[in-house]
Amino acid sequence: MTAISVDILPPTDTALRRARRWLKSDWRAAAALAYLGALLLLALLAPLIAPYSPTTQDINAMLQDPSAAHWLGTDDLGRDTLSRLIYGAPISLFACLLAVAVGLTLGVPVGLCAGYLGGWVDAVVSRVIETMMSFPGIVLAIGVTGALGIGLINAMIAVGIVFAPEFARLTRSQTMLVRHELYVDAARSFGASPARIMLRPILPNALQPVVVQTTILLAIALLVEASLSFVGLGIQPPYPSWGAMLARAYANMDIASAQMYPPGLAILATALAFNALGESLRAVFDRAGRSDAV
Amino acid sequence: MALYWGLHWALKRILHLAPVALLATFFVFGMLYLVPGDPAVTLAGENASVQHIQEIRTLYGLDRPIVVQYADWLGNVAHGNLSVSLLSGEPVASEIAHRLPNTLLIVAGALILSILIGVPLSVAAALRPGSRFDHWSMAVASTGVSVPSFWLAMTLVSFFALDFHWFPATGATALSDGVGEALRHVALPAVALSANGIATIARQLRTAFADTLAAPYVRTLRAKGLSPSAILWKHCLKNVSVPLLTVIGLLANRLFGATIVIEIVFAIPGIGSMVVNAAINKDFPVVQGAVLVTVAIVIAINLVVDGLCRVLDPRIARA
Amino acid sequence: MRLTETQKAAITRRAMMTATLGALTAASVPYGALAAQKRGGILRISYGFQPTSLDPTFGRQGGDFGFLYPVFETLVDWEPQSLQPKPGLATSWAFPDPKTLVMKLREDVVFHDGTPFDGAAAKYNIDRGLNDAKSAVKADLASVERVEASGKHEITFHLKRPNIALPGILSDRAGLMASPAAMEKFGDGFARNPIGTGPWAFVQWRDNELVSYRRNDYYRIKGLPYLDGIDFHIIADANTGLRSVIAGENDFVQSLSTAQKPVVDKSGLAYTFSTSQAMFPLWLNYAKGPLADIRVRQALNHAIDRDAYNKATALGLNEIAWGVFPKAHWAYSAGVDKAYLYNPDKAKQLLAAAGFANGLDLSMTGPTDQRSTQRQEVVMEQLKAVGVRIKLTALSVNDSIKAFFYDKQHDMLLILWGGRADPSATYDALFSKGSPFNASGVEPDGFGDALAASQAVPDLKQRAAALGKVAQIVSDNALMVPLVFDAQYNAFTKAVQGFEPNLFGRMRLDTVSLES
Repeated sequence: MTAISVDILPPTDTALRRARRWLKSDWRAAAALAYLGALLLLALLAPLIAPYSPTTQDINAMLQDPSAAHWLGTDDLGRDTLSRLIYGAPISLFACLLAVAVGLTLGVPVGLCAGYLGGWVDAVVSRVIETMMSFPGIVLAIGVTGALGIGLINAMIAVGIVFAPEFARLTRSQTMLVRHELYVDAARSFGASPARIMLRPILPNALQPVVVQTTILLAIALLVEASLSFVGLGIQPPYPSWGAMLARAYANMDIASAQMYPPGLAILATALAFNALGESLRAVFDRAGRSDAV
Repeated sequence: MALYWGLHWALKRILHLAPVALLATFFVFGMLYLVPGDPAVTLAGENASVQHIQEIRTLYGLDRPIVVQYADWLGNVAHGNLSVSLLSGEPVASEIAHRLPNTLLIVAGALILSILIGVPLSVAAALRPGSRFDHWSMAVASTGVSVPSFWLAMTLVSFFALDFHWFPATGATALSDGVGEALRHVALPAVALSANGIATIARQLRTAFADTLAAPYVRTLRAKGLSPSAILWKHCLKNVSVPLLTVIGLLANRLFGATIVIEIVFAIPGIGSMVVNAAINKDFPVVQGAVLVTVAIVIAINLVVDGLCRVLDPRIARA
Repeated sequence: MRLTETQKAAITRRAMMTATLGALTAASVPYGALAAQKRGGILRISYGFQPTSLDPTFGRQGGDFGFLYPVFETLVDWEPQSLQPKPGLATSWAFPDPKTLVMKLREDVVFHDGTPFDGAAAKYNIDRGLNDAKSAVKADLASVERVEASGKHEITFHLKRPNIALPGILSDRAGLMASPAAMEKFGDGFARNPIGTGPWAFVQWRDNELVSYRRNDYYRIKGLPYLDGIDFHIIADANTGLRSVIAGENDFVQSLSTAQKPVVDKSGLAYTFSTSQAMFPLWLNYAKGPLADIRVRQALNHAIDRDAYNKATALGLNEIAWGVFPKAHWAYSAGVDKAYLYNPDKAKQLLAAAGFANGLDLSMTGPTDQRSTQRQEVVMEQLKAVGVRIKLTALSVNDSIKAFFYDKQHDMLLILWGGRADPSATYDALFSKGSPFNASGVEPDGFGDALAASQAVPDLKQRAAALGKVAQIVSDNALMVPLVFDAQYNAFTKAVQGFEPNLFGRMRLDTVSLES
């Protein structure tokens, strides 16, 4: 066996250094991460940052244009739009994370098993995945919500169920690629059980496309939550989700069209950040993948 | 000979797809048991009398094994019987028949717009790799994928329908009432819906084009003196038709979902607004019927896409 | 689309036979503009509701009436501004004794399917209302023991107890007359094939989309209707509906929110804005949990700032509700006015006295549309200020009604009350212990007697006094939290002529015509 050159990587290269190099070279990823970080901070510190409570009404200040007192104006009950936007961040973020978490929890193990075990398990799982992917996600989410009852958590669990086949399919194809690698054979020759093999050598190596897909699905989950809240199947009043704010702005569109923009732009910016992050990660993993091919 | 292979392929595809389609219908049927509580109450409606609930239980044979119930239901569906709405008593099948054309018109319009704008955009970007145009168009495309289409719809309504009166703000008219009017009604919804489609096609195809343009045989063609655009149109188009068709299949699925909220914004009587109202009002047969039809259409579209892919690129057929 | 040839032939035969009698008994309806208004045209209406049923006896919501009045008529008609009974399909009525009501019916009326309207047909309808399992008017007819067709064109009601309010009740849903032949023929399908005696005949109903009617050429009032037909386009969102009228896609939009006034004013559309007896209360289940304590209910009444609610939800243009009837109604009782002025301190005191010094938790339900959400949010915020924490479960209209009245899962409900033709019937429906609209299932002491007293005297002034006593009991016991009366706000193009709003707040199109 030829000696593998060991000076490809600097001797003190750490994950942190690699990450810093990546962010320096890719300004889009850096911007996206900065935005998401700020959003997370906003979400966690909402009560400290927001100028008003999101539910306090001021009947004498309904549907006002932006002013010094209300930077983004007020809605039709005199509630400060900026504060509602800020308090809406944790709710929207929670919704995306819940949906994706459900999707990952359901999809990744199924994909792992199908890809590793093969045979009839794989055949059955593949058929089920293909079937579920022919259901347009939001239709299924609405149908499930209609069955289980209105509410944000039910809705996002439904969305998570819709995401699961995508994760399963990705994990499965990655597992099938990886399972023939040398280190898997090595583990098997040590007598490791299938479960151990799936968890230890396979899963970490199969995760890269899953990570990319997670960011993309976070963006989609955000849009779906906005849609569901818009049609009335999402969060219950008076909590401010960005989708619910859009619905109220739509109801007042003829009188105060400016109210549409803060929540719409917030959704757009956040989804954009998720998507940009996903693309950058994909590019990084592609490059890393190619350099690994000896 | 070609006919034989064609039939052989068709049969193989159907055999491969049959379990998926069957499984899909079984899932749709199974939604009944997803609803908490007694399935008979779900089907009879919550305000039904005890006697009526018992009637429904006997009528649908809800005491029998699930597989038997499923077979019965499937038989009914095959005959066009999708049960009746719990709220209004209108047969679900006829409601769908009225509303489906409105939805299809919007989805088709959005698809066509996406192709008409997305393909040239991706070609232009692929021909100028790394240029400012390339970066900017891809940035715009990224935005297009991230924008909530119903918000875009709201802004379009605000400008074009209310301020300028160019397009109608609401509703839909049947094609029979005049193609021009129908198209006017479809314009804003289709545009709102197409933003995502244009962006997706532009991005996917640009990558596909860039990859083909980098291929060795293209270098040969360039050496022979062919301009990049000539190469693209004559030689590469065939190679990207497969990714294009795949994206179209994916888009069809996504558009059917996104059109739901668009229909609500524009008050269009389509499948989307039907399923939302039914879900809010727990009108189960309508929800079930709508999901079934949507899934059937998506599976059909993917079947066609798959077939066209194999025709265009024989390499896939051998895989 | 017009009536089929068979229908027309059937009606013509009947009409010719009864025409002479009809000429003698025709009620003279004072439509002053009869000569001046144009005939013709299809009125396109943007309507915010889907019918729950086109069967008059089985439908459950007030929004249905817009769909029912074109097709069906009531035994007793009502004056638009006072809701007082006047002849409809019945020409006259009398109480020979307090427990018997005799009604004489018109002799020249045919249903849209050609069958005659007579005593037997009227009896069939009332029996159905009394006995059918799905009847929504059983409670309204609770005082009726049985009805008989005492003549070819006469029916007699035998009552269990005196009820002067019965003619008023028969001007409401219970009095809508449908064709028995059609009901026999269609069975359950009648809900999608309604056949009545009204100015228009039903043509089609496309779910959540369109309900169409076309002229009844053989309508009993000659010269009416003006309109050739009516198309209801079901557009749930009032803003979208208004936009459709501004854009010229529809001619008429009903039930606008007062908040839309700036848009209507800018658009140049014609409109009507008038009081109605439709009211928004906070319905209370006063047998449930903390609400069983009268101090809690009084606290809720003091905690609400009705003026602020009015300003937030209706630009301050609706009439504040202290009792069940608006000032324009003859049964309005000034005695309960301002009984519970806005006083958050007093509310907190009352709650503390009831043992809730640290606040209490209540559950509320209501519809999910944006306007309802806005109302809920105002109320929730006002109650929060006195320590009442509300957990809201927003559902579809049907589900919220079911959850509150039948399943009794919630303490409060915020939804519109459409009212009844007769004030005694109103109190009966709202607060009698057996009524489906009384979630608590109990009534205060003395309520039953006071209500019966109001149903026993014929003189309007005396009835008003008796009803005032009922109002006092309701107010003293704080059985609900009345908020505002919902003004009826409709907008239409200038081509629409002759539309008359009414105190009911229900849409009647008999007098409407379209200039071309």
